[in-house]
Amino acid sequence: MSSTSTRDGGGGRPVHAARRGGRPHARAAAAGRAAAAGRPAWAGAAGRASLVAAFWLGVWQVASLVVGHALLLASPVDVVARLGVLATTGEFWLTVAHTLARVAVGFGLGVVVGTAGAAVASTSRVVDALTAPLMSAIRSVPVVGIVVLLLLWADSARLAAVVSFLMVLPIVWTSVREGVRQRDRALLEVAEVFRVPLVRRLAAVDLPAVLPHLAAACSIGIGLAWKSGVAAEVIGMPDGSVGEQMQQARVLLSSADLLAWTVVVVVAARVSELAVRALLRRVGGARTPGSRPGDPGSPAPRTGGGP
Amino acid sequence: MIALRGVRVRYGAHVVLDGFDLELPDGSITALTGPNGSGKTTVARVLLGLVRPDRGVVVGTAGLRRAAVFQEDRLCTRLSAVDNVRLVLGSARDAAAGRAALDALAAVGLSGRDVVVPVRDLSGGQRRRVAIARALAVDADLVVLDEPFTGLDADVRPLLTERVRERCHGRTTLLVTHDPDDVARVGARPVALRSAAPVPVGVGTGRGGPAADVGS
Repeated sequence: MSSTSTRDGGGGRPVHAARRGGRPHARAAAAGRAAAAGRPAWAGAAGRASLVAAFWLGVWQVASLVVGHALLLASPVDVVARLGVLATTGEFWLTVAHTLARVAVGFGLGVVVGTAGAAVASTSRVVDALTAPLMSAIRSVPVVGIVVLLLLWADSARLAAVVSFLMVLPIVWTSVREGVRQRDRALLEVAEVFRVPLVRRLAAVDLPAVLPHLAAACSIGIGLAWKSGVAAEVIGMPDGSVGEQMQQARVLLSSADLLAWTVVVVVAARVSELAVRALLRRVGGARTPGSRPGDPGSPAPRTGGGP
Repeated sequence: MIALRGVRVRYGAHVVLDGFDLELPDGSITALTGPNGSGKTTVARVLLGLVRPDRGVVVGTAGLRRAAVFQEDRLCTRLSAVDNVRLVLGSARDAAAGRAALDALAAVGLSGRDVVVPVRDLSGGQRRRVAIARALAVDADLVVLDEPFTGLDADVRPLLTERVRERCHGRTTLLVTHDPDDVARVGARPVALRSAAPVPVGVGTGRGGPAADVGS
């Protein structure tokens, strides 16, 4: 077999830039370029993130000085100090764990039911037609409306889980439904002709098409689950919840406590999002927002003249 | 015997085939030639069960195990060549399927690193060979090859046509091609679709040699 291609020496394979390894390789390459260009270490991604955080902390500090009243807006120093005190108590960690568990249950159920429901809806026009307006309605109903209704029907203990579930469900459902629509039809025909068993087809064709959409929905959904779940707890005040603590801080006019618990929720939501992304990457190398773009299964374009 | 009788296929207002007849004797290799737009790929899709005719019947294909090479490669680009072939043979844990996949790829001149990297890292010609290997690896009763050798270098075509000839011997095969050399190398009985206009087509069994023109 001759190879007149200038691409490589054996077999005419195209020489691609490094494609494996994704973000770690990209970060290493960026750091290398920065070092080679003689730029300081703080010019890297971590350095930039630190500078951005320092900027907004500075804005916060200035704002607290301008307001001049700790009851209305505590300074970042006061909030961190308060967090330091809270974190030394067992009650703090129990409270966070309780809310985390409820939000996680609601989020997990939303993902499972949303994915399964979208899969069923994609196979049945009747189901699709019946559920589309339902998902739209759930997406539009204000959190407070759902909370008030739920408090009429049940106690407040499961509030965060149910509200989180209802917030996540329509997002996952719609995204997965779109992913199913975007499955590669050509590959589905291959599976049909060769009678590839369903499980193998799902792994090779359906999952690569659906996972990026599911990953995006999960990235958005986890933050929404935290936001809505804690909001539900503030209204319903279930015992031992982050929402209850925030409501008490409001009653006691302690902005330091209120902001401290807010920071806890923001950090918890961010850590949860990273954990979900990592899990999805393990499941299928999912292309999550911020990761490198990929081609999860489209047929390779034919080029003429290759060996 | 596999046969298309009086088949009509229409895409919207465009009639691609009208009153089309074709017979594929068991175990024969038939080459369908004709100009672009004459309906060759549509014939292939009807045989594969991907297109249902508006009129007419397809006989003899029920329950048959099929294999195909499409005009496009239609590979899972994140998977390797061996995984693409194994996908149609057996599960990932099936060692026999893995060995069969490697053998099929070696038969078309692919081995070593080329069969374990994702196929998106292969050249167009290599991906084409993977698609051919995938079709030939299956013990199919009906093999449909739609322009399988397009995009391949002239020096590898003889290898691939010989592999098709060997592997399709005794299997009912339809080869769609523009190239008369491929018809000869594969040892196929030629049938020509003369034009894009709907024409009745008939193929007698047992005719070989020069292309039997079809239609009036």
